[in-house]
Parts: sequence; structure tokens; C-alpha cells
Amino acid sequence: MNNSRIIFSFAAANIRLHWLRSLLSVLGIIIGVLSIISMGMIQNVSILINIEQIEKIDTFLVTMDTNYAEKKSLDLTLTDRQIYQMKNTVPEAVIAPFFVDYDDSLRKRDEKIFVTIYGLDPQDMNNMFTFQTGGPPRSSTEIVVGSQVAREKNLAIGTQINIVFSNGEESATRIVGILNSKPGIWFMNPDYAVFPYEPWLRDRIDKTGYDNALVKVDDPKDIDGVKNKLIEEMNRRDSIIQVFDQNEFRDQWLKEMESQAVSTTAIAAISLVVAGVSIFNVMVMSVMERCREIGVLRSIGTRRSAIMQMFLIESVLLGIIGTIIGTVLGVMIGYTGISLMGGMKYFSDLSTFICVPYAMSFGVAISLLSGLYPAWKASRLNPIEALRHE
Amino acid sequence: MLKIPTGQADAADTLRRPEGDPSLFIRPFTLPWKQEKDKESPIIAFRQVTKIYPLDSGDVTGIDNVSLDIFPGEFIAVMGPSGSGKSTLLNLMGCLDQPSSGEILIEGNSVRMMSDNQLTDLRLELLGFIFQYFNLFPLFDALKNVHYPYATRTGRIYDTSRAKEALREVDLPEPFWTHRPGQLSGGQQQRVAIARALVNDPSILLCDEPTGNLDTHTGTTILNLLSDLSRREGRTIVMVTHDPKTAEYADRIIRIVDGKVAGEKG
Ligand SMILES: Nc1ncnc2c1ncn2[C@@H]1O[C@H](COP(=O)(O)OP(=O)(O)OP(=O)(O)O)[C@@H](O)[C@H]1O
Ligand SMILES: [Mg+2]
Repeated sequence: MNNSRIIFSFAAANIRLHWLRSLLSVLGIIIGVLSIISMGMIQNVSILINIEQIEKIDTFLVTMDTNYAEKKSLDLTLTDRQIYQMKNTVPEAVIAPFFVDYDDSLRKRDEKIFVTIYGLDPQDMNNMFTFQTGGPPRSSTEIVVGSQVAREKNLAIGTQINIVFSNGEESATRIVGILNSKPGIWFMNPDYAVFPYEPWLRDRIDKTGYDNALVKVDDPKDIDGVKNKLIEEMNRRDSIIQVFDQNEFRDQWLKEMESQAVSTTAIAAISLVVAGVSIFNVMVMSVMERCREIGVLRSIGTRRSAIMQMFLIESVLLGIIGTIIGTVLGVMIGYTGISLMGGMKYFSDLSTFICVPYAMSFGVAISLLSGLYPAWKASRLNPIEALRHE
Repeated sequence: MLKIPTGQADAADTLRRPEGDPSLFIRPFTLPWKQEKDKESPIIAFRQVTKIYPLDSGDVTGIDNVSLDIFPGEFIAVMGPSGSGKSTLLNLMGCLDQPSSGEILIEGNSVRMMSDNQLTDLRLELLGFIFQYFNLFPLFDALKNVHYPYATRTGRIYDTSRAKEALREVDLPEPFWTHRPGQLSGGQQQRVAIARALVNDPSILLCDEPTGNLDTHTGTTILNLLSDLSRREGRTIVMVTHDPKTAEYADRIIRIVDGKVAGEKG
């Protein structure tokens, strides 16, 4: 026998009567569910967008294996011979060796500019990057800058910047090219770099060999093949080279996203706990207000368990109402955020909605938990005392 | 929620009560002792019942060593000064409370060892309560108020025929059935409350000052209704009142003073 429908109608009627109070009490649930869902959706799409970006990366980096260098007491420099060998191994890829000028700095009039100075062959520069304007340097007085540093420091074609050498001497250069942004080369960051004329710089700082080499393939899918071929050939006898590719970048980035997700979930969870407290409050109030009604119910033959159910249903109903409103609002906010991010093609991805059932069950569970004690209290009321209550 | 002994429950559910014949009404909760109505043995019996309320400031005696018998079909008025223990007596009869000592027998069976659920079911099956302040559920209309105990007992939540029958029994005109308590007069509310008490066809009606909140005229109509229920349908009624005029409707008056039975008249 089941008369939970009657019990349900008691609970529902009471929520309807105190709709304003009920709405206020579910505000916390609404906010909690809303934030879990909207943040979850937006985060998921931003991960998908970034993975897409990462998968577009067609370049990886080769350096000398640090253990090998130590063993042979070499500095971490790749020789012309090694570069030549690499080029022969993977003729289908572009190999662009470069060096870093760590010691020297830059100045635009009175302003120091802290960016990395690279030595990269002008031909390789053409192969690796594309230019917003201009082209590679052809003499010691010409220099190319990355897109981000150009934007931040207000640099344009023709702007003069000086290279300040560690011994205090300076050499004036003029900007002849600005690169397009090339994301994902986290090991180099060409967006925040300058490229003087390589043969001149090499001569000026007395550099032999290369610190690293960029390896670019036509199709990002070929990265693994090219990488393995290189490692197999170069490290046949000894582990000479080391490779850093986008997988490393992705792992690191995903880890970062994960910790970010944990903290947003924690914030949302806290708001849900607060929501639980407010529902608890309303339920305790409801029990106190309806003391007399409980007394009548008990005296005309309603069991304790039914009273308990009645109040549990009430608080779960509050939770469900809050959860539904929160879900609708959360999906709307998520939708808005995702379209602002330009990630609409990932909106309908199933993984974007994984947070929805999670947040919904959390919202309902919290309301059930916070209703337990008041409901138990109500079921324990002495009917005589309860009837006397005014 | 309401646990019914299996087998009996199914039988009770199929053996519907023919309209208008209360004696054939079979309760799902078939009390083992409830057989033929026996006019000779008391339906309610108190044997040296004492109720003490332990308070921090010392024990308060609600009723003190009360023994009494109430027989089926009797209309009893309980009278006495304020604080004499009338409500305490009624609450004990209503199985809302257990005595501190002594024995209470309902239809010959002691309620002492009964669990809370058993007492609750007994109230549902056997007892009807009528209060001074009506105590209707404010959010439900009259019909739903009356229907609630029936639905609780039978689980037939859509079958309001019995509730309608009870409302007719108390002469509440049909247009008022959909009114909420707030939209009814005091007399009408008390009629609804009586219908609610009657809906499960109880043997015993317990009324605490049923006319205490009504004007004289309305009170009279309610009292006529109660005495009708007693005379015509043979229901046992115990009514607490402090008004001698009201008490005149009863067959017998039990006087309580300081928690003791001070005299009977009837
Ligand atoms: N729950 C309780 N706790 C403590 N004392 C109580 C309790 N209920 C009743 N009493 C005491 O028991 C005595 C009898 O109370 P009871 O309510 O039965 O009187 P009454 O005859 O119904 O009075 P009234 O006519 O004013 O309703 C009183 O002294 C009262 O203070
Ligand atoms: Mg009283």
C-alpha cells in the first residue's frame, strides 16, 4: 500500500504556500548547480579548443641529451655534422637549427626590452615562420621581431632597436620584418623573441654550433614518425639527442587545467554546502511552524515514518526545483560563454554535458542530506505536545 | 507506510463495504479482539491509571489512580475545573500517551505493550478525534481533509466516495466541499472535522471541548449531530466539556477533580 502521493501533496502544498521562502532557500542550490554546470561546460570546451590547437602543432624541438653532454663533458651544442646527419635522416622535414644569445639585451631608445635573442638562419626563418610584414634580415643592421613583442612594445617596420652587448658596446638595427604568431612552440616562444642577422650575430658573439633545432613536418600527424626516425638514427650507439614535442606540452597543460577544474569544483561545492545549510534552516522552520499540523496528523493515525517522508519529500522537492532552475541557467550561461569563446562546434559534444548529471545529483543529494535531521525531528515530536503548540 | 498483516489485508481489500451498512465494514487492520460488539464488556476501561508529568520543578499529577468503564454506544461527558486532568484523561483514551502506572484496555486489550506504530494504527482504525480548534489541514479543501485518514488507511487515494459519504453524514452542503478551512465558518469547519473523524468508521469518538469555539446556536447543532451519531449509529463518544448545558446531551457525566473521579451521574 502506498499513499506517498498524499504525503507528497502535503509537501508540495507547503512549498507552494511559502513559495518566496522556498525560492530563497533554493537560491544556494541554484547558484551551486549553475556554477558547476556553466564552469564545467566552458572548461570542457576550452580544453577541446586547446587540444585542437595542440594537434595543429607541426613542430618539435631537438636538443642534445644532457646526460650525454655530461658524460662527454660537452656543452649542450649540436654540431654542423649532427645537423647534417639529421637533415639526411628526415629529408621530408624542415630542420632549422638555432642558437640563443643569453648574454646580450635590447634597447629601444631609453627603454630596455627583455626578450630572447635568437640566431636563426634567414632561409630557415622563411621555412619555419610566416611574416605579418616584411621578411628576414639580410645584413647586420636588420632585425626581425615576434608578434607579441611588436604589439607590446609598439614596434613597426623601420623602428630602431639597439642590441646591447655584455661588454657595453651597442649595435643599431632596424626592424625589417614582424612574424606571425606561431602558437604551441612552448620551448621557444618566437612570439616573444627577436632575430638579428644570424651570420653576423654568430660572428659577433663567437658562437659555434647550435643550441637546439626546430623540426617542422608538413602534416602534424607525421610528427611521431619523424621523431622516431630521428631518435633511431641519431641515438643508435649512444643517446645523443633528446626530443620535446607537443605531447609534453599537452600533458603539462592538461595538468594545469585539471587543477583549475578542481578549484572551481571546490568553490561550487562550497556554495552547495551553504545551500544545504539554508535548506536545513527552512526545513527546521517548517517543522516548527507545522508543529500543530504534525500533532493532528499523528493523532489521526499517521505513522512516524510518514511524517519523516513528508518532510524529506519537501526538502528534496526544494532541491529538485533549485537543481532544475540551476541547470537551465547553467546551460544558458555555458552556452553564452562557449559562443563568446568561439567554441560552438564543441557545444554539442557529449563531454561538454558530463558536468550536468554530476551537478544535478549533487544538488539533490545535498537537499536530501540537509532535510534528514529536520524530518527526523518532526517524526519524533510528541503528538500531545505538538497539538498544544500554538 | 501502513503495514497490514498479509492475507487479511487482501481479503479486506476485496471485501468492499456495501454502501450504508457500517457493520459490514471490514478494516484492513483487523484487530484480533474486534469481533461481535459486546454491550456487556467495556470498550474503554481504566484500571488504577495514574499519569504523572515529571517536571524539573517537581512531578505534576495529571490524573491520579482513575478506574472507570465506558461501554459501547455510551455518550459520556467529562467535566471538571480547569487543570483537573480532563485532557490528560482523553489523551490516554486516545492512545496518544502511555500511563505512568495502571492499565488501559481498549476493547478489552491492554495498550501498555503496544509499539508506537501499533498505537498509531489503532488510532487510525478505532478512534476519531475532534478538537476545540478544529485542527483541519489549512492547505487542503474540506473533501481532502476528510479523505486523508481514509487514504492513509486504505491506500485508495483516488476513491473519495467514503469521504463524500462522511460529509453528507455531517450535513455539510456539497458546494462547501471544495472550500478550504479558511473559507468555512466555525460550525462548518467542525462538521468537516467530525466527518474526518468518522471517515474510517471508528468505534470511539473523542472530543475535547468540541463546541468551545462555537456560538451557542452552532454549538447546539454540532451537539445534536454528535448525539445522533451516538443514538443512531451506536458510536461511543467521550466529550470533554466544562459547560453543564453541553454535558446534558450525554448519557452519563464523569466528574474529575484534581485528577480523581469525583462522581458520576447518568
Ligand atoms: N505535558 C504536560 N507536562 C506537564 N504537565 C502537564 C502536561 N499536561 C498536563 N499537565 C498538567 O496536568 C494537569 C492536568 O492538565 P489537563 O490539561 O489534563 O487539564 P484540563 O482538565 O484539560 O484543563 P483545561 O480545562 O484547562 O483544559 C494540570 O496541572 C497540567 O498543568
Ligand atoms: Mg483541557
